[in-house]
Amino acid sequence: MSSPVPPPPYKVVLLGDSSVGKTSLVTRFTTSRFNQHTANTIGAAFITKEHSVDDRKVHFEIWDTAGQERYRSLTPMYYRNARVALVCFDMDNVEESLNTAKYWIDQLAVNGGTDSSVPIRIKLVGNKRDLLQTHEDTRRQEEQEAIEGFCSENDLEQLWETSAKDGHGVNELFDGIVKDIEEDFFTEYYQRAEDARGRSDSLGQLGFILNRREANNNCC
Amino acid sequence: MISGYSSDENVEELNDHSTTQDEEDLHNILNDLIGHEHREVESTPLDFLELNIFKNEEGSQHDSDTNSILAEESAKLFFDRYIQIDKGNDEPLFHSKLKHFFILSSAGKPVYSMNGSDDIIIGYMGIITTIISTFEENMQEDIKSITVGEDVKIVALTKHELIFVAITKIGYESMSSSNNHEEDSILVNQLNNLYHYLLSILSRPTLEKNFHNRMNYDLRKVLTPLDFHNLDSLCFKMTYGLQPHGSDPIGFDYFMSQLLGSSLQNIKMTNTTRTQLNNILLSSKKLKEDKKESDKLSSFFNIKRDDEEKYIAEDLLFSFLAVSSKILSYLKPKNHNLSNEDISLLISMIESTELHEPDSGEGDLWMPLCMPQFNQNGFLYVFVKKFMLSDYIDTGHQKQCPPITIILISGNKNSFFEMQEISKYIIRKLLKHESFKLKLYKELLLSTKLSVLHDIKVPVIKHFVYKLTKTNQYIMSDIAHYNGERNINSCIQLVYFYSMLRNTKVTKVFKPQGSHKIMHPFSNKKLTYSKWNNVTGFMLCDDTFEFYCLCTEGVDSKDLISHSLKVIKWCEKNYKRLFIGNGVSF
Repeated sequence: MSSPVPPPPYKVVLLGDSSVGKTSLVTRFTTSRFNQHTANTIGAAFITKEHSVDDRKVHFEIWDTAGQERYRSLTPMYYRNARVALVCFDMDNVEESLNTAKYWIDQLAVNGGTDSSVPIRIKLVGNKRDLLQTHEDTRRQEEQEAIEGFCSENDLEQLWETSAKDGHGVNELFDGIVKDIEEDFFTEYYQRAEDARGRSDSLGQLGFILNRREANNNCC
Repeated sequence: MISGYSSDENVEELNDHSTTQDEEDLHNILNDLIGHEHREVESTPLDFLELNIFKNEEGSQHDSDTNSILAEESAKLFFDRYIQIDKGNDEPLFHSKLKHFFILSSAGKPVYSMNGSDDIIIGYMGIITTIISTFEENMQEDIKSITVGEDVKIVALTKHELIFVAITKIGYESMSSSNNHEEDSILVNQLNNLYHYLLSILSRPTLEKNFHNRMNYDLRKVLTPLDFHNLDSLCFKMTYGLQPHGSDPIGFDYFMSQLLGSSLQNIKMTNTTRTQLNNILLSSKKLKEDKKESDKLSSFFNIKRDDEEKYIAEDLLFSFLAVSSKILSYLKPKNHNLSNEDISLLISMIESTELHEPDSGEGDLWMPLCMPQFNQNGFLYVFVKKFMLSDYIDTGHQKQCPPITIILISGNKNSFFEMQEISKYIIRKLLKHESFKLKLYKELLLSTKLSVLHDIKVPVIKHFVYKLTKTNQYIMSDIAHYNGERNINSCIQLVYFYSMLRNTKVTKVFKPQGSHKIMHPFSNKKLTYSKWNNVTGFMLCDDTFEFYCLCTEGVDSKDLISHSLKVIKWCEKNYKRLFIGNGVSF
């Protein structure tokens, strides 16, 4: 009866314009690989991965959503119980993809807090950083200013620069998510698990129960 | 050159009642009809150029002295020039393509073109809309098809604000209409498939609404690169049985399914295993939230729960277990069904999502899809999970069977987690019994290579297709047996010969003796027997089945008939292993 308690589930949702590299970012994080010809996502994909930073360990549940406008009606389900939203844009196509990023930030402000007790934390991710080297200095300057302006307008403290292609910043991004989690989240989770250990005969089911609870909350 | 014939003149119309030796009788009748021919033919495999499949192009002139390397080279040049999809700006190249598909709005805005850049096609869009609208105004009827000279056929289909056009210079496609009473059915079906694809991703209300608001609405803005890729792939598969630019160029399964009238391909599996899979699907539908578990959970979180139990799969409508895009098991409600067209659309869609990342099977997919024949006004939600059975088997050596795809279709867009729960249950069940797990694994290993031809021992037959008419499902042997290789050349040949077999006039089989006027089981049989150079094709069908086969070497018609009958008999005997039938209902 000493089976270890599974790490707590932690929901993350990726949002952003189509073709900014959301799927590639997740693939890079989960498999350390990159495919130039990643197909467009239809609807969404749900990917899980355990990830530890120092002595903390979480079970990431990642919603990789389709960027296409025609799938937008589905998205509320994906961010409903998410704790972190990675709002992604394309550093090689700043103007257009930041516009869509703005759309998502507004959506999250309207819907994010309503039916979930935990506020959703927004991280702005600029992907395709590797393509910046092709930009001339003046263009880079302008884009830099646009991004900084965008961050201050939307109260975003930090820009996370990533490249799914060469891997730059990807692990740091997800490490950062784990580091940002309040200590209370872990103590509460393991306290509940400890309580359950007393009541439950089959501890193997615990992760199942905990996950199930989250799942149930999702279908209202 | 085509040297095939159907032996109409040999038909004898006689009634009879003999009930014995059916088999032998049929054998004799077929022999009489076909006649004997002992022609020695060369048995060296030819490529599609030598067979003159696309006979109207100058590239197909062949020098008999060319060695095989040169032949291969010229086949590749021919393929790139006349067949392969090309979206470039090269106008002569555009005009040399044997097949074109266009989708445009009735205002003349291009949505999709199989070949050519925008600059090239834009002028033709104007011509097409002019022809279609002029015809419509003057005749009060939609234009259906235009034949130009002997070898160009243009077929059009208008749906709402969209116009679909196919232009073909391919003999086996354009001739089908002249011999077949269903006018241009193959090309019209192809256009319908393109229309259904657009419906599947957008649904009818979205299409109509968008065009209603703005007549010059640009549908292309809504389509993703994946959609254009999928349209390319559809066009190419429907025409040549091939995938454009793919690492595995074969798309023959889809072609055959279309040729047979949206037939669903099945694979061989023992009846006990299939029944067990069916039962797993059926029990997953009845899955309830575990009462005990819930109680524990409730007290655990101090949540009050309703007393009634909840079915997890409440929103589940259809379930499929599939392997390599072929369905193993199928669950459906009693009063609803998915048509083969819808299923094939579903399978194509799932295939396309994994095309570029075959081993990133980690994630669960959740995609909205409109099933045009089920309900073109709304979406269903499709849960897809790939499951590697090999990962749970200690095989010693690294033989991997293809992943099992679990497909769960729900009517509720918020039911992802319930569907995920069901998929976990299905996987637990698949793995529960060691013996079943191993049996399934072994059968899946075999299923990918249908070695039926070896099993039945019919050396004369190189490839065959058997379709069960009642359920509109078919099986066929592995392409690799024909010509010994699974390549573009084999595929083009199969596409051509089976198209020709379908197109040629059939001969009715009657039993030529007896005195009583009782219908004999043979009386509704039809047959076609054709020869092209060194290839012999044979088709035999009646109300219950259709059988087609090809032989590549000089073959005695007697052997061909006896071997064909052997295969047919084998299929009839094994039909429970070969076909999923109507699936299981709840």
